Amino acid sequence: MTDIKILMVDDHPIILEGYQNVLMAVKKENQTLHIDTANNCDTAVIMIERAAKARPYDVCFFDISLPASEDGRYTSGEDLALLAKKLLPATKIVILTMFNESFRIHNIIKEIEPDGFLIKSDLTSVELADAFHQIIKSPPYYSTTVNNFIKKTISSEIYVDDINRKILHLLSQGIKTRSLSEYIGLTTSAIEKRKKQLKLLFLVSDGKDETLLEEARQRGYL
Amino acid sequence: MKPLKFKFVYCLLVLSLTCFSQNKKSLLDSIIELRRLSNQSSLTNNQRVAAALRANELSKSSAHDTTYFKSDRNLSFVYLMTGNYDQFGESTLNNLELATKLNDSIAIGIANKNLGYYYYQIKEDNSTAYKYYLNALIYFDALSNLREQAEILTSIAAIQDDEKDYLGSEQNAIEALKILNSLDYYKDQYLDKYLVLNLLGIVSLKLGNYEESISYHNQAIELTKRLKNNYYLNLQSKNNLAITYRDKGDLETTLSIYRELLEETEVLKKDMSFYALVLENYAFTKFLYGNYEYKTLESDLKYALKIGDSIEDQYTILAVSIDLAKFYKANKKKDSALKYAKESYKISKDIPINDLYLESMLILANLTKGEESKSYLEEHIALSDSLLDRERKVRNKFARIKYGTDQLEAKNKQISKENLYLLILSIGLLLTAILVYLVISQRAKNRKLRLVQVQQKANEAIYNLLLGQQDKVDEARAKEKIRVSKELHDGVLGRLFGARLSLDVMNSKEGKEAVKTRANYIAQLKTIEEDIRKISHELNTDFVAGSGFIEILTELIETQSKAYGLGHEFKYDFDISWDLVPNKTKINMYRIIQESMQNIFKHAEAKTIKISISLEKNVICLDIIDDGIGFDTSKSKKGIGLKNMTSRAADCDGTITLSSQINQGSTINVKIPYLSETL
Repeated sequence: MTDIKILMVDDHPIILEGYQNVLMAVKKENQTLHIDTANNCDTAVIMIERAAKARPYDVCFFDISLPASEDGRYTSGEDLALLAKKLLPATKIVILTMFNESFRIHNIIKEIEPDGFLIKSDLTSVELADAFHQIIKSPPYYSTTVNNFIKKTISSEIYVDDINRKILHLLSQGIKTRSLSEYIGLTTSAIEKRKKQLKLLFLVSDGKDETLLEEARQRGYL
Repeated sequence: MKPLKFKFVYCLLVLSLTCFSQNKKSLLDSIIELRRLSNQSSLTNNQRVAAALRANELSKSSAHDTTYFKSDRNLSFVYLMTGNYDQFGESTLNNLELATKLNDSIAIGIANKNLGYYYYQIKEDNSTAYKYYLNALIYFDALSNLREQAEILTSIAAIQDDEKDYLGSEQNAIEALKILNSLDYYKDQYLDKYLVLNLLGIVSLKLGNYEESISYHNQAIELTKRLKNNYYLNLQSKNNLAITYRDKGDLETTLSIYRELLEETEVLKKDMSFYALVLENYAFTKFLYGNYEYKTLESDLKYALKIGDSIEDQYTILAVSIDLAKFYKANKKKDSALKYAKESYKISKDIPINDLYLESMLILANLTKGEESKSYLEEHIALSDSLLDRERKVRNKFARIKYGTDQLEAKNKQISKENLYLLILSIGLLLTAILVYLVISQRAKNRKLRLVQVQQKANEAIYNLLLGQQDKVDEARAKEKIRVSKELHDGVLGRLFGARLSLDVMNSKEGKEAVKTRANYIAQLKTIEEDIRKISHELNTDFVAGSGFIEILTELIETQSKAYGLGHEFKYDFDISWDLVPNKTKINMYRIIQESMQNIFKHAEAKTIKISISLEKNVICLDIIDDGIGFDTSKSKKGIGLKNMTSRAADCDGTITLSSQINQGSTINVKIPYLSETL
């Protein structure tokens, strides 16, 4: 008999319910699941800290977009995952997110190096089950979308740093260049310089932002 | 009756006028005809004078100054031609008066010259002649008529020679010669030049400049070869030349010239007095030369005297008599000498040729003895003194005349100088006026330009405001987009994913429990569906569309009212889609509202202001109503503000009407077409 202690964080109860339903349905007979759930950062932080003092979780499932903690220190699943890695070094971190933009994926992989990375949109109960078992046994498990992204960026020779990725991402969201400085700690002229650089990198000949975004998307940076 | 009478009088007037003009024309014709007749040399002198006189009378009656003047000039010319010299003088004086009246400077110059001629040649009043010649000279100088100047200078020089002002004479003659040399060829040029040269020769001799005198006479002789009928002049000049040589003391040359002259006896005999003069001179020169035969010389002189007697030429007789007196005196024939000396003394007393008179007295004083001689001597001294005195007086008179004319000239110069100053001054004033005008107009232009600039700036500001508002709207749209996307992403998608996952797991399960659970999730799907519908509905209502301009206006009205302490009311029609209204119209409406609120605050003393924008039959109606003191629309002048508002309304094809009554507030109504008919 193995006891597996699990923490699931998501702001939608129905999703938590879904995870539970799947996991309960596919667990092996010798496995006993102890599942804690949290709807927001505050609850999640309390649970992680408590587990650090008693028995750590075996697996943590984090959603990315979550209601922030009241003190503002934790604003997303990423922050929670980093906390968990620090407090519970042995715990396997699984990120489940609706975001499928490569910028987000890239950031998450780089910062958290999760043991499991699943994208909700292409997630089925079977895949979740497979992921769960593999993560317990031999992590990591990345979903198809994530794998495709990793493949793409590795094959691409263009190096795009984090700030440039963020710029591309924000642009793709429809944020105007002159408002970009509100999102990134850079002056508008610095951002303009970076954009020019990006256009050179992606061989954008007509200088249009649209073409830049199109190129970035094709090469998997978006 | 009355109008008829008037008509009659009018007719009469017209008739008489036409008659008068016809008369006038025929009068002029007859005057011209008479003038022509008066110049026909085929008529007798009396006939010619009569014609000229008649023309003159008719002209005088014509009351036409120019015609009268011409006729008068013609008359004086006819008088001169027909030998009526006194009338010539009178008529010329009259002529001068007329010319002065007409202010015709050429005519004045000619009249003065003619008068000079009249007084010099006919009246032998040298100083009056001198005066007129000087006047003429001034006019021709002003007219730059060089030929006339030369002629007059020659005449003046001749007068000065007569009056023994040799230096002045020489000066004027040289001046005349200079002018003549500078002139192009004309008909009588050689004659004029000859006259000057001859005069210069004579004057130079009198000044003792023998060489110059000889040179002038030679030039004159040379010139006679080019003249028609020159022979007499040639001989005369030769005689003059001979006298010069004689006075110089070169008696041999003198004699040779006389011998040469006397070869032309036939020609000389045409003028017997001149012939006698030549004979006399030749004989006397021989006498002076000495080495003569007494008999021959005596007979020569007597022959000359005989010619003089035969033509009753007093001058010749006088000259020969003095010669004879000297001749007899030199040859010790005292009685004969005394006889001729007395003879010459008598003649020279009658014809005042002072040189000879003095000479004869001197000879007599020499020939007589005692008291008689003494009395001749005393007489001689008295005469020469009085002559000197007279010469001095004449010269003084000339100087005075010249000084007078000089003064006149100086005055003229002064006047012309003053005129010049006046001209410069007026040009200066004109230029200043033009400059001032330019500066003023430039400034007005600048002011206008500045006003336009200010307007443009204001327009720009409002345009930016509109653009800013558009940006705000865009931003709000973008934010809304993000919000919807987030709501979909986080809320709906998440829940959908949860439900799917659960249903996915439940899919393979069977049994009542499973069915219940699935039903639960299906109900969940329904709520999600509801949520999506809600979001979709929210997306459908464009919450920001078209509100931009109204918001700007609201803000303007609110801030202005607050600043001015006015109550306000703003109503507007939701049907107007401001996106379709051109920015120009919006800017103008904004400015009209701003301007009228300012005016109301400044002048109306209002408590509240009502602004409404409504749409009536495709026309945007803007009404601005206040409850202030109002004003009389008929009396008040249109201020700049109102003019601006009018031009702004016109700028977007609209109209503006202003209605007000004292103490009943005022209403501004602006109507602007909403959408053009073609849309």
